[in-house]
Amino acid sequence: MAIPPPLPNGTHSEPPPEAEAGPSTAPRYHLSQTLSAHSRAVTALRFSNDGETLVSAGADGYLHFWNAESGECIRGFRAHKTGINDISISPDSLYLTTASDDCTSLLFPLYPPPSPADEPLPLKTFTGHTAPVLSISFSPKSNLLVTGSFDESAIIWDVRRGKVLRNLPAHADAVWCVCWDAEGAMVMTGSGDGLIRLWDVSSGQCLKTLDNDTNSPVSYASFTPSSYFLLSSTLSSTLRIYNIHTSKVLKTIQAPGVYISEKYPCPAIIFEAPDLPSGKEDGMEIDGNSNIDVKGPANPALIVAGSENGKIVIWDLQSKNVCQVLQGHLNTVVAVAVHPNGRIIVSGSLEPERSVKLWRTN
Amino acid sequence: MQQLLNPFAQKYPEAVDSTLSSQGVSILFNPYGPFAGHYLAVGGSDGIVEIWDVETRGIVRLLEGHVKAVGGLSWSRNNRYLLSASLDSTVIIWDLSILIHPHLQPKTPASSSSSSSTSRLHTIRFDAPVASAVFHPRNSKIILATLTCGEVVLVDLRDGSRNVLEDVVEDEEEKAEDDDERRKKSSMACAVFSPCGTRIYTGTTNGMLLIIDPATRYVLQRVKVATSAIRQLRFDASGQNIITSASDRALRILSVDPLTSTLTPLHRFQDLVNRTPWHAIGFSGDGEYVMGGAGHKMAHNVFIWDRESTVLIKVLEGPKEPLIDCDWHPTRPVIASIATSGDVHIWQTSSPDNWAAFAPGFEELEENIEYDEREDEFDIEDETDLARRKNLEEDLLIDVLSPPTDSYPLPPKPIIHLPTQYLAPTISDEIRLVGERNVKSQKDVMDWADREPDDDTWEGFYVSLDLHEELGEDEENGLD
Repeated sequence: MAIPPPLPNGTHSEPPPEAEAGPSTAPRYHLSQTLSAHSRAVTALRFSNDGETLVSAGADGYLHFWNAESGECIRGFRAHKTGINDISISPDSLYLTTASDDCTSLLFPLYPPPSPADEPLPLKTFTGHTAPVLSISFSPKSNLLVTGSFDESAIIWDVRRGKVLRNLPAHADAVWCVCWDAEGAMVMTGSGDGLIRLWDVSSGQCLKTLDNDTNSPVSYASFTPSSYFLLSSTLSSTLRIYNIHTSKVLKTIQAPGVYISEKYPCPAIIFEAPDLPSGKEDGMEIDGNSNIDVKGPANPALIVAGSENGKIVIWDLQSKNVCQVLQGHLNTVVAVAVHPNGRIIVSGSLEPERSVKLWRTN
Repeated sequence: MQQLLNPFAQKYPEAVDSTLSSQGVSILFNPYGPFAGHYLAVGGSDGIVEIWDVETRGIVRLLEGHVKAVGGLSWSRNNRYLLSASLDSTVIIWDLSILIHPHLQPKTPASSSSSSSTSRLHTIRFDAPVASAVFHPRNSKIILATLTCGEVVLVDLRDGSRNVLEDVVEDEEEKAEDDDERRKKSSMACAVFSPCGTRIYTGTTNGMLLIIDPATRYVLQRVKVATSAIRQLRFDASGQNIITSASDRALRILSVDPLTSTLTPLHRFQDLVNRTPWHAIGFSGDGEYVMGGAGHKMAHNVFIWDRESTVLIKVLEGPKEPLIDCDWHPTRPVIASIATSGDVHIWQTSSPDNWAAFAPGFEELEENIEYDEREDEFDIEDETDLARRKNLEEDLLIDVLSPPTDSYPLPPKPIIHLPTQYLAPTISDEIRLVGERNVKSQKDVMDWADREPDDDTWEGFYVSLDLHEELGEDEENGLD
C-alpha cells in the first residue's frame, strides 16, 4: 500500500492506513456444502447458542435440524401446515419457537427425548395474532417471547403460561422484525411503516421511535451486542447503524449494484470476525499500565446480508467497505445466519432453490 | 435502557399493583447483575422457598427442603445460588442452574460442572434455629449465619470450618476479665457482610456495632450506635450507607467510609406518634430513599423517607393485614412486601404514556416556547457536499461488539489501592499509615475470599424453565 504524500494545507483528511487494512485482514468464506431437505424455499435459519445445532425452517412448514459442524441432517418434521416465517432458539438452547402464516407460534424442545412419534407435539401454542406471524424472538432469559405480525401489532408472551403478557399496538403497517436488548429490558419492533420503536418491557410503554430519511419500510432491525447501537435494514438497499440515545445515524452502509433489497426482507447480521489462521495474537495482549481491564474486541465487526440478486454481501462495519461477495444462489436470499464462532455462514433463498448453503472459512 | 426512561418520573412506588398468592415470611430481590430485580425469592412459613419471575408474576422454581419457616434469604453474586435459612436449624444452598427434568440440560456458561439432578447443593445444620444467613459477596462457599440464640457463625465450606464470632480484639486476647463479663451480657443479634465483602458488621443486644475482619475474625472496631439492641442491619447497594433498626424503635442511618470503615451517624428516623416498631428496613436501589416496613398490628404500612433531607415522603398504605417483610427493587421504583397472610404485594408507580416517544424528533413541552430558526436551517446544500460531509461524519470509530457493563448494578469492589486523597501532602503520616493498613487488610480478605472460588462465574446467569411440567390451574389462568 502506497503511503499518500503529506498534504501541504492539511485540511484534506485521508483515512488512516489502519482503516483500509480492515478488509484485507477479514476472513474469506467459500461454499462448503449444500444441504437439501425442504420441499419449498428456506425462509429462516438459526444456530443454537451452544453452536451444536443449525435449524432451518421452510415455506413447506417443515423444521429440519442439522449438525452445525458436519452438516448432517439429524431430524426433521412438519411443524405447521402453512409456511414458517421465522424461528427463534432460546438462549439456553432448550427450546425452539416458530412464527407461521397460520397466525400461531409453536414451541418445541430443541433436543427432545427420544420418542417413537415422528412429529412431536408442541409444548406450547401461542395464539393471539389475527394475521400471519412474521417474526419471533426469545428474551435473553428465555422466559418471554416477542412476536411481530402482519396484523400490525407485536405481542410479548409469557412462555411458561403460553399466554399474552402485553399487546403492543405497535405500528401502522406489518411488523417485520422484533428483538430484545441484552438485558431483556427493551423490545424493538421494525415495521413496513418505516419506523423502529423501542418498548419498555416492564410497563409496555413506547420509549423511542426512530425513522429513516427516505421513509423506506424497515425490513430488519436488531440491537448490536453493545446495546447503545442498533442495526437496521430498509427496503431501499440500505443498512444503517443508529445510536439509540441520540437517534443519530452513525453509519450508512450500501453497495450499489451488489446489494439490492427492495422487496423482500432479509436479516442483516453483525458478528465479530473470527481469528485468522495465521494466529495474530494482538487480542491477547494485556495493557500493563491500566488496572481496569478494558477489553475491546480483538477483531473487526462484520455485517452479512443477503441480496435480491442471489448474492451475499459481507461488509467491514467500521470502514463500510465490502469485504467479500458470496455468489451461489440463483434467487433472492431471504435467510442468513452466522455460527456463534463466526466461521460458518448459512443462507437460504427463494424458489426454485430449496436448499441451505453453508459457507466456511478456515 | 435506563437513560431512555423519563428522568422526571417518580422514583418511589405509590400503590399495590398486584398481589402474589403465597405463604411467605421473607422476601428478597436478586440485587446485582444484568438481570437484577428480575427474580423475587420468597421464603415460606411452611419451609418452601419460591422463586418468582417478576416480569411474568409466575413461579419459576419451588425449592422444598425445610420443615419450618424460612426467615432468611441470600442470592449469590451472579444469582446462580440461593441460600435459605430456616427455624428448623438448617441453612440450605440451592443451585438454580439444575432442572429436574432428565432431558433438560441448559447449554449455558453456567452448566459446566453440574450433573446433579437435584438443586439442593448443601445442607448446613446448626444447634439452634437460624434467624438469617448470608453468602459472602465474592464466594458462596463462605456463609455467615445468625442464630436465634444470639450467636453468629462463620461457615467456610472450603475447609469445613465453623467459627462462632466473638468480641475479641487482636491485641487484647489474653487480658481483661471484665471484658469477658461484658461479652456475656451482650450477644449478637444480626450480622451482614459489607457489600464488597471485606468486613462483617454485627449488631449486638446492647446497641454496639462490631466491625469484624472475616479472615482473622478479630474485631476491628466497636461503635456504640444505640442504647438498646440492634435488631437489623442493612447496607445500600453502594456499601456507603448502613441502616440499623434498634429495639428503641428508631432507625439510624450511618455513612461508612469504604476504606477505614469509619462510621458517621447521619440521621435518625422515628415514628413519634405511633412509636412504630420496624419489621423491615432498606434503601432504594439508588440509595436515595430509605424504607421502613412498619410493624403495626392493624395496618400494612411502608414508610419512605428521603435519605438526604430526612423528609418523610410517603406512607404506603396497604391492606389491613400487618406487614412482615419488604424489599426495594434494585433498579426500579418497586417495593415487594409480605403480609401476615403470606401474600406478597408488589407496589409500583404508574407513569403516564410519553406520547412524544411515538414520533421521532418530538419533544413534549410544558408550555409554548418561541422557536428559534437556525441560520442555515432551510439552506439547500449541494448534494455532493452533503454526501461528503455525511461520509466524514460517519468515519468515526464505534465499538458495536462490546456488551455494556455499566448499565446494571454490580457490587462495589474492595479498595486495593490507596485513594489519591491519602497521598496529598497535607495528610499526616499517621492517617496515611492507617489508610495503608486498611488497604492491605482489604486485600488480604479479598485473597482469602477468592481462594477456591465457587462455580457462580457467569454474570448473565438466569433460571431456565422446565416447560414439560404441568401448570397448576390457578397459575394457568395468570393473575389478571
